[in-house]
Amino acid sequence: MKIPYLFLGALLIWGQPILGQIVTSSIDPGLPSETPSAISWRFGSAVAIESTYGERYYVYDAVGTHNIHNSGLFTWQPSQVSIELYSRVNEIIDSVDSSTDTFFETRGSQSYFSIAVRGENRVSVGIIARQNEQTSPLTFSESSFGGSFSARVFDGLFMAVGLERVSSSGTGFETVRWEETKSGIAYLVGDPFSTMLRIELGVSSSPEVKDDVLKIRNQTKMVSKGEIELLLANYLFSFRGKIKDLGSGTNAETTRSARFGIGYRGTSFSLVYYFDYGEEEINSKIFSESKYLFNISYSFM
Amino acid sequence: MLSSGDLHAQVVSPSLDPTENVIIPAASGWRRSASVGIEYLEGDGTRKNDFSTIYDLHSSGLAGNIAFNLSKFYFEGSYNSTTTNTTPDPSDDSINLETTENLVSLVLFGNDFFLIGMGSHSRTTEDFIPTIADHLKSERSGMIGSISVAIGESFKVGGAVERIKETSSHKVDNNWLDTTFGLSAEFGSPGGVLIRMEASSTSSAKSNKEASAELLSNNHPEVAIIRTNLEIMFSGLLFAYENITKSYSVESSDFLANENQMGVLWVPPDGLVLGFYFANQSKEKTGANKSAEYTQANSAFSIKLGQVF
Repeated sequence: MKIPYLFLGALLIWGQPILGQIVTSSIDPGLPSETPSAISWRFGSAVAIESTYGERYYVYDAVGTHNIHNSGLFTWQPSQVSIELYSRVNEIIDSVDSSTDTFFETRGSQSYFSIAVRGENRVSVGIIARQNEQTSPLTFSESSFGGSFSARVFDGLFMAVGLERVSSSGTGFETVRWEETKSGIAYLVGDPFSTMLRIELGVSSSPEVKDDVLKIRNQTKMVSKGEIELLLANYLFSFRGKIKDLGSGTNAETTRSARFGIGYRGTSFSLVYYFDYGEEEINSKIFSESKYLFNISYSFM
Repeated sequence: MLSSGDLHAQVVSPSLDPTENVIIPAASGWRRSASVGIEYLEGDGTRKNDFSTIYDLHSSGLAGNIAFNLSKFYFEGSYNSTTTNTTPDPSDDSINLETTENLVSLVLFGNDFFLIGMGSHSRTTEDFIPTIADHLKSERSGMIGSISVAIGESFKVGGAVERIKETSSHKVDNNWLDTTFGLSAEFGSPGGVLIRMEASSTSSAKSNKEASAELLSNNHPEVAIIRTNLEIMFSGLLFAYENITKSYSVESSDFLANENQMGVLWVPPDGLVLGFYFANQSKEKTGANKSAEYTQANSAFSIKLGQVF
């Protein structure tokens, strides 16, 4: 199990709020936001619960369908100030041990708190505090805080930039720190309660970080994603493509995933189902993953 | 606030970030509103000599600022504390481990064109000093007298004199004079686009005190600090930039420290203020004893929450 230690940082990143929005919040009120300023562009307050199931497979190993995580989201937007609380518990990630080409189980949890202020319906500034815990096979804690701002450049065109500072610590390991940058553009047009189109392109990146014994604790990371959501007569259709490059040289791995969503987005209740298929390429070997996500939310105010 | 050395602050007029403190007390009188703010920072850095890393520096800090007025009486108080976590190296130069700075400002007299203010300033530091292989605790305290004058609607000039006294655990007492001058300009109107610029200079006089029978000598070098600021605010969104350069000499070595700070904040006429700052700092030897290999570089990031009343 040499790879698990090498990839400790990556494990949590694999499980980070991968559905998160960088520039503006999703039309689906139950999805979390990756940057704090994005919550200012929500269409009201909401409470949501989500459950994700998934399976992984490779030529020599497979993990059957099981619950990957459950999460809860509360977002409150009484005025120009918005806050968002998100918690994902009992997360089980099936990571790849590339020395044996098999999967091993990693457990953890994630949560964050965001607060943002929207000004004149044109700009937003927010700050975030995030806590990720990995409880198995080793205990690691990743805490971070950061800020972001976004601006409506034209009528429906938004841009955002954010920075998050991460501290990673574990029993018997040196605490290491790094900064993660996020940026993106988004286009929104229409009415969020009937017909709307939303397109977003986002990028996040972080550098390689080694600890005092020169072990890689955070690999070079670059995540690019594009997302399109279409709301037609309260029915929501969405697609998101994502490419994540981790590490370099012999440690390099690339994950490509496509997520499709379909559901109902009402003025109060929303129910959206997502199917996410991904392929993780390590040393020219492809490890596949399928995820099934159910999101129920209630919007108010 | 991102520096562990010198206060990040405005000199002649208050920042468009109302939770940022001012250095010369008279400038508090130009504030438009009462405010309170807190800030948390984390930073990392290294000190390298001959291409090898001597220090890995990890710092964290907390700052707070409150400003209000009762009629013509303006009060401002600020607190700034930074702790650096590292393993002291007896073979290298001194390293700062902890700095706490307090500043209380009062505007005693003023009208729309002229302000007189005074302040009380204290700064406690804990440094590791290789020559004594021990931690040196120092406390500086000073009283500040200052004036600030408005020239037209857009310009302000100001100056301050601070008499500083230093006491420490291992050195004899010392005292010296800091003088600060600055010019600021502000264009636009609140609610629209607002641009503010400021440039200031602080010079600290050299003062050497001989060692006593029990205590070491205390040599304060001549120090020159130049601060420049550019702030742009529109739709309540503030972009703030500050550069600080500090030059001084210690034991025939010239040092130049440079710092750039940028911030993005939401600043309403009243209500919640929040945002973040990031900064890069560097320090190197210059002059005749220049050592290209000796560098100290830090980066820091902070988040800020405040309220304007």
